[in-house]
Amino acid sequence: MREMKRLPDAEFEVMKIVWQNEPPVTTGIVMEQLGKKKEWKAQTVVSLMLRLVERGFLRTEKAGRERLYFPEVSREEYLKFETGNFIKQYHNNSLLNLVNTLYDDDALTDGDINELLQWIKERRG
Amino acid sequence: MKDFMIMLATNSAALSAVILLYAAVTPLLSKRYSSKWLYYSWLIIVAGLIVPFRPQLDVPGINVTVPAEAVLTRPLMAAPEKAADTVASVSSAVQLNYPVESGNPVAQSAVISIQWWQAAAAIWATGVIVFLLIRCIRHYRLMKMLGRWSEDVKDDEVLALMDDVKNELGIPGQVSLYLCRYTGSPMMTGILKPRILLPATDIPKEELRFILKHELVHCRRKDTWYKCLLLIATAMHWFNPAVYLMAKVINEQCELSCDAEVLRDSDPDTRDRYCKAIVGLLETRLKTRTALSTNFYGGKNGMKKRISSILDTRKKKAGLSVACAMLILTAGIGIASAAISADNAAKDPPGNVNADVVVRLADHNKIPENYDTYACYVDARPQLEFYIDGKDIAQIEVTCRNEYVYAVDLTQTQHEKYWNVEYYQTYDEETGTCTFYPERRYDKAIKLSFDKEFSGYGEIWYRWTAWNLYKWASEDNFSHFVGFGIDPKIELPEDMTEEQKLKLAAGENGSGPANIGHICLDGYPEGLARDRIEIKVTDREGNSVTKYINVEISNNEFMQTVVTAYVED
Repeated sequence: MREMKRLPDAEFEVMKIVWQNEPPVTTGIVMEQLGKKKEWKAQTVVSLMLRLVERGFLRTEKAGRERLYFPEVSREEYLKFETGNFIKQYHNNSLLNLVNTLYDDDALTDGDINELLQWIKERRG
Repeated sequence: MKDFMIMLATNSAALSAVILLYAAVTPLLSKRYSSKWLYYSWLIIVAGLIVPFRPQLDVPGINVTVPAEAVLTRPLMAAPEKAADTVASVSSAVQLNYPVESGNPVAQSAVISIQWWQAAAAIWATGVIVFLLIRCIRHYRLMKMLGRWSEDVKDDEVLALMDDVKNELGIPGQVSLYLCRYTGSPMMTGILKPRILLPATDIPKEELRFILKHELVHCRRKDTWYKCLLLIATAMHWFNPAVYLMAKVINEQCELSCDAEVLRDSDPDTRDRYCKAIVGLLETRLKTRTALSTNFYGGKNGMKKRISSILDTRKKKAGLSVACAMLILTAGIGIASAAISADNAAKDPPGNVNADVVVRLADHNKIPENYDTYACYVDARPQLEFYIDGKDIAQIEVTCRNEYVYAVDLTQTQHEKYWNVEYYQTYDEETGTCTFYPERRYDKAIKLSFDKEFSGYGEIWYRWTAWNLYKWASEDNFSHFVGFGIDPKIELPEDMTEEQKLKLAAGENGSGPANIGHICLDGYPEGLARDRIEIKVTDREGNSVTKYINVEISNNEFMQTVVTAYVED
């Protein structure tokens, strides 16, 4: 696959619908679930989806009169890309973020979590 | 601004000590006192960092003088005059007479001083702006990311549970709830519109209740506001590493005290289940983690502390004493330091400005850097040039007994009278003549007051000028007058009558009797040949010191005018 790039908001919205539905997806489904809410024209949705094909996020097949779309990038894959990208840029000094997180997720490695679970088990045991 | 910078630095340094002390004893205190009180006691320090209202320390004498590359132009002063030029100007035109003063040595060594605090203020303000800008951008990006991956919660059971917990805690108003795949941990954000984000996992209802309660406690306590204050304090003290340590400890205390609030009056069984809820989240996290994590020291240990604290059933005391201690320390440090500074000021004997005040006399045989407290030189006329330098001077008063004094402020920043040439000399373009008002420039007593930020005292040019001796020169039909300039034998242009020459020399010319020529006299009357200049310097604390310059005018064997002067403390 080509190098992944961060999706613009509109294209991301379309991808979210694609991920929510069983493939294949048609422009009709997207239009129905998103286009009305956003007041997009059918042509807008079509061009957004074609752009996603260009980006390699979707694959398209012609089936009779309809065009079918299949996701090429899973939500988890893309989420991993976005979070990884974001953390790389912004993680430093999360202390001053204006959010209250239950725990500092980014400060714990998998090894840490395993060790913690073990430790808690011993403590409570 | 100077005071503000001193106050900020003092405040930052003093509170650093409090921060380090409090952070160091926090583990000890947390065994005894409730985390809630420990958490809110930090707020006192945060407030102290933001509002440096305490009496300021006055630190006199910190003056950094930076020689600037740019040199002020000095339109006021003419280049050094030679005796021959003097004659030429005297003979050709009368109106040129005034600017012909002998050379001004200060002009060459002109410096612009940039106060240390101006540089410090610029750096500080830039830091604050950059810090806040970066923080805002990060917050915006984070919110955007979270928003992108957030979905409304559609599960009615979850929404009902949310309402239930909200009512239990008595939180009015709307709190929105979202599922957010982007976050690895439940979180609460939003200042005006609180939002709770849950990681998109199916959390058992029993555990979800605890988690929602934890987040809603944040919401009720307005922890986001607290974090805003913390952010402001950190921005103002971005240069201080102790403040970042404080942010870390406060974040930790915030979660600990939030846990404590969720578990208030809970039995060990409930505590155990709460613990299980967090463990459950961690376990799920382990399975579904998508992001690459970076290891940060403290994450694991912080979590251990958390669990220990959750399972700790010991009754904790309200930490009123801790809060009081912080209040006393935060407010008290400023008062103590102010007292110390006042004490220092009291210890200083009156007139301690003495050490700082230097009076230097211009001696034409020396270079300006070597001007000293003694001068003896041949001059074209009876006059003395001197400089008064020092630090934090509020006022300088110069008086003399027989003759006259004046000052020229080369910095051109202080009292206008002392540098504005137009004030005492007007130029008429049509006739091409200058009118000089000596009474506006010369006085027996002058008083200069200085702005607080001023430091260029040494650049002000003081003159004692023997105006009475010129009157003496013209007495008895100019009988005491022997000639011009340093060498009195220099001849005047031939077309001048003797009377013209005499009058010109004594100042009787087109500018009126007020103008001063360069003269030599055959002798000086006892009362006029000596003068005593009194210099009274008052500093900003009201201390004053007085110095004297004794001046004597005499003739040498070549009938040249000799000026002898020395400074007397």
